[in-house]
Order: sequence, then structure tokens, then C-alpha cells
Amino acid sequence: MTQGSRLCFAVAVLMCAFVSINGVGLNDLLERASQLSDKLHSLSTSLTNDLDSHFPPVGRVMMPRPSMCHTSSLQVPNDKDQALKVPEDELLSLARSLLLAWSDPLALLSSEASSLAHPERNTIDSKTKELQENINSLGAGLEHVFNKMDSTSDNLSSLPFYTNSLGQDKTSRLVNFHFLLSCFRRDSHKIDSFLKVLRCRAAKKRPEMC
Amino acid sequence: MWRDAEQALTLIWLLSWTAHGVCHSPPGRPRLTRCRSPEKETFTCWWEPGSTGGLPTSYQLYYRKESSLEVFECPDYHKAGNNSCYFDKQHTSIWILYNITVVASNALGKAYSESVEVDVMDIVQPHPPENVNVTFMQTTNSPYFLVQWQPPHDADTRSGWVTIKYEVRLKIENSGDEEDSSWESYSAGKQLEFSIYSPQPGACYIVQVRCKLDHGLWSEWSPSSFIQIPDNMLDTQNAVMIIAITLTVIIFLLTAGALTVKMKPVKHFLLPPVPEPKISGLNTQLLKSGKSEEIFSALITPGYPQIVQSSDRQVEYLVVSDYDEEMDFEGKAHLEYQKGENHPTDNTQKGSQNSIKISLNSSQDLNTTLSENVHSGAVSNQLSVLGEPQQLLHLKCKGSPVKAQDRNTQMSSGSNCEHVSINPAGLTEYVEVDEDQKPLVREDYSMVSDVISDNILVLQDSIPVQGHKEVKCDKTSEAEETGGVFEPLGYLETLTTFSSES
Repeated sequence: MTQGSRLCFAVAVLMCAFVSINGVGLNDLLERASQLSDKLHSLSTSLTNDLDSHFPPVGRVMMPRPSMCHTSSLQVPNDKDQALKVPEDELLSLARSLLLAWSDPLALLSSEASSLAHPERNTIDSKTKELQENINSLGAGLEHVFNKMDSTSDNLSSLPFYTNSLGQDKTSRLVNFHFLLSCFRRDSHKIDSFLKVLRCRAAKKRPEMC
Repeated sequence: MWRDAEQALTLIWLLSWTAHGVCHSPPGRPRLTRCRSPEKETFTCWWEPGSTGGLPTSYQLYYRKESSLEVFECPDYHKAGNNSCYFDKQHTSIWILYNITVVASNALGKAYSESVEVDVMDIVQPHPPENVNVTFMQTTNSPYFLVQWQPPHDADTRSGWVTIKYEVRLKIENSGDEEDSSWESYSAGKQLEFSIYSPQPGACYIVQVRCKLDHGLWSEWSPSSFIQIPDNMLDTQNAVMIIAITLTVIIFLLTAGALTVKMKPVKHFLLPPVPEPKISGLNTQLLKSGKSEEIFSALITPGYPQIVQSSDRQVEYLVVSDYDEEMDFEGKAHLEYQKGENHPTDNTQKGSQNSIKISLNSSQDLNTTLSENVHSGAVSNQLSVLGEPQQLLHLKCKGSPVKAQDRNTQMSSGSNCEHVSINPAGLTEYVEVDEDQKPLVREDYSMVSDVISDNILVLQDSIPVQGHKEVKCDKTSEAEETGGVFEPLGYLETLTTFSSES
């Protein structure tokens, strides 16, 4: 081999090694994921506010209990001490399970948003679509994080969503939409908190990440 | 009378006693005003008591957790002050709805407040940042003041459970002014300090900081911090500015003056003039003066064919040559006319030659090919006739026959042959034709009928159109008469060539 080709080969080998070892760092992946989850929760909060602006008072009485959210069966830590004791891969799988559980319901919300009996229907519709996109990006990002973290088991919990319609009349559709959204808002906050704990734990030497 | 007074007094006493007794009533409904969690680990709820009903009233807070029917009472009524309930870490769970009710009770009854449902994630509001201090930093070029602070003591910013964000605001204190200047807010991210550049000298600033945890509520603003910007900044900054501006103005004026003085050369340097097209010999000034002859005389270049009197003895050579091997078919005679100076010795060198090749064939077609070589110096006129060997070419010059010569010899005729008649006689020899050239025309271009090449002008003659060339040549040595039939010669044009002076 000539000098030039030898040099090229060496550089290529070094680059491959570097990329395979590091690639995009775990810290950067988690930082990006946290930003996405933050955005997700903000969107859901603003959607809830838009809905509440013109919500019929009758509906609030009819609201189903949050314990009836389809993700309520998932066991999550409920305070800081519990959360800080959960190992990282379990935290990640909790976040991913929750995320996965919401792809179908959000699709239902997205399809129903345009026909809601609400004056802010258009805003709600566009925000719901944006929510769907964000969920997909975050899901893909967490896949990368999972591959990066090299954990042995992939114990994703299945949280099926069986409802395929929000209801027959206007009011019940509105009420169920609001209920689903409130469930999602809570779950998005969980995802956000778990990812931020993960982010801080991964960046042990960099306190500015926390 | 006594009885009336007694009754009145008893009535009054009874009334006053009754009035006192109406104030005692069951308590009014208390109202939960707000619940707050400063660090997402504990939370406190406050309520507003209703009317006491005149009796000592006690308040209890009861709560129920989501999806459980068990009722609990508030763990701590005192930590957070009056009419409050503090939930410590053990009793605080996030992402669970608390159903909270306050009960006011006195001797006469109880009153229940409206139930409130609380989730810790919605009520997060930290305490304001602590130890805010502002210092003025005077560096040479860019003075600024630095705002520094600490996070609220109960917020845990190290574990990632909460992510804190700060905001700084400042305004100039206008003492004695009616209208207040407005606050300027700056987001400071997660950092614990912030720099404000280019403060107004001599002003007094009020600075405040607040913080937020994740998506929660903003804290209260920290207590105001004050800073006075010194005045002397003016001198150092402004002096530099003044000097710089003065120098710039001086340079500008100098450049402008230099430009106005030396306008043209600078203009030529920057925008070089575009060259105009020129015709050599054509003087535009003459054009303007209107003398056309001078203009055109200037236009005539030496190379242009002119009809000039030549004093040299011009010799016309009539070359009759034998080219039978080149002949492809019968009856073809190749006439070559060459004109050159009379140099018998160097006729082999083809000096200035104008040679005309005239091919004749049996069908009376006449192909006149002219070839000429013009060289400076020697001018020769040669008419060579190339044709059938059996044909005798007779060369006549002004009626008198010209001596025919062999191919390589020249013959000169005494007379000035301008018109040469050629009769093909089957022999080709070079015949020298001597010709004194007389200028036919003195710069009279009206006689020109045709221009053949750079140096040949065909003139129209006063001699009848008929003028055909006949070349007859008496072959002396070689009389190769093959006996072929020679067709009568077609008419040839009268050709006169002019030597070129060079």
C-alpha cells in the first residue's frame, strides 16, 4: 500500500472506532429527549387550558375519575425518594411504556379534534397533531437511548387502549376528550420527570446538566 | 305603675340577653384558598375561615387519596402558620389526586368547606432566590454590573428531580419622577449570575430575581437590590469617541480635497477611457472639414492597385510550352500567359509573374485559369500556350506575329503588345512577348470592367468587342503534327494585365 492509502486507512479505522464507541453521546441524547418531553408536557397543558376556556360546567360533573385512565395500572414511583431509588433502565422502560401506550389514544384524539363542539376547535386540532408528531420523535429518540444504554432486558409494559370512539353526543364527546387529555397530561409529566432524573444521573461529572 | 316598670325592665333585660345569644351559631363554611409545593416533595394548604358563629371554632382538614376511601387528617397544622396544613415528605405523593376538605366546628355545629382536588404536579411554586447581590465591574472598555444569587434553600437542583430556571429584572430608579420606568426582564437559564452591559452612568438600578421549577409557577420576586452607577465613566469613554470622530472627519476632508484637485487623473485611473475604433488613414478632422478628395487619397493605401505609369521596360513573354503529357483529351490547349520582365537569362526563375492559363478543348469551351505569382522586382509577361501538339499556336501581337519560342526560352517582340491574339496551333512553347507598357489609363477607373485579383484589372477597350486572342506559333524545331482536327478557337477576352509596382 502506498503512503497515502495507508494514511487514509488509518484515519478511517480511527474514525470508525470513535464513532462506534461514542457516536452521539448518551448525554446529548438524553438532553434532546428531555427537551422533547418538556415540549410535550407544555403542549398538553396549553391544550387543556384551551379546552377549559369554554368548557360547559355540566361536563365537569360527568368527568370520569383519573383512576380510570388506561395507564393507571402501571406502577410508577410517587415521590422523589422512590424515584431516585429506581434503576436507570427501569426508569427508561417506564418512560417508554407510557409513551407507547399513548400512540393509539392520541390518534383517536387527533381524528376527533376537528369535529369537537368547541369554539377553539381549530387550535385544538393543530395542537393535537403537533402532539402526535412530538410523541413519535420522542419514541424514536428513546429507542436510541435504549440501544445506547446497553441494558439486558427490554421489559416494556403493555397498556392497551380499547376505546375507539369518544361517544355519541356532543357533550359526552367533549367530556371524554377532556378526560383523555387530562390523563395524557399527567403521563407526560411523569415521562418528563423520569427523563430528567435519567439525564442528571448520566451526567455525573457535569452538574450543569441537572 | 310599679308592675309596668318591672315588666319593662324584664323585657329590656330579656332582649339584651337574647341579642347576645343570637351571635352564637354554627360556624360558617371555611374556604381552601391555595395549596403550594415549594420543591415537589412537600406541600401546604391554607384556608380561610368562615364566620366563627361567636363561639370558639376549631378547624380540621381531612383528605382522601385518589382511588382510596380512607380518610386521613392533616399531619401538621402548625408548621406553616395559622389555618394551614403542612404535608411532609412521607405524606406527599405526586401524580395522585388529593381530595381535601376543611371542617370548621364549634359548639353549635360543623361546617364543611368545598372539597378541592389537588395534584402536587400542578401546585409547584418555589421560594424566591436568595442572597441576591449586585456589583459594578469597571473594565476599561465595557463596564457592566454583575448580578449573583443562590437557589432557594429547599430546592434540590442536584438530583434532577426538579430543573430550576431563573429570571432577572431591573429598572432605573427615578426618584421624584411621576412616571416609573418599566422593568426589563432577562431570562437567565440555570446559571447563578447575570451580567448587564453598558449601564447608564449615574443611574441607580433596582434588581430582582425569581425562579421556576420545570412547568410550575414562578416564585415571588426576590427583595430589591440597589446599585449606583458612577459618573466618571463619561470621561474615558467619550474622550476616545471624540478623538476617533475628529480623526475620521480630518481624513475625510483631506480625501475630498485631494479628489477635487486631482479629478481627472483619478478619474482616468478609476475609469479608464474606452478606446474608440480607428480606421487607419481616415482622419476624422478631415471629414469634418469636408474635403473629400483628401480623405480618400489618405484612404488609398500603397497596396491598392493603381494605374500608374511604369517606366521600367516591361517585357511580355509569350510562353508556348509543350505539355502533351498533361493533356487528357483531344483538342485541349492550355494557354499560359505569363508576364514578366525581360530577362532572358533568368526566365527559368519565375519573377514577378502574372500567368494566365487558358485551357481550350474541342468543344470550344474556354477555361481560363489565371494563376499568378507576384514577386517583387522582376516582372515578366509570359504567355504560354499549352495544348495539343498538333495544333500550331500562332501568336500575334498587334497583327504582327510574335516569335514563338520553346518552352524554356523566351522571345521578345519589339512592339508593345497590349493585345495578343492566340491561335492554338497544337504546339506549346513559351513565347516571349516584349511589351512596352504604356499606361492605358491614368487613374481613370471608369474603364475598368472587371477586377480579377489584387493586381489585375480588366479594362474595356475602344477596340471592337470582337477582340479575340489568337496565338499562332510557328514551331521551328518540333513540329508534332498529329493531324488532329482543331476546332476553331473560341473567343477569348482581351486581357491586359498590369504590372504591379512593388
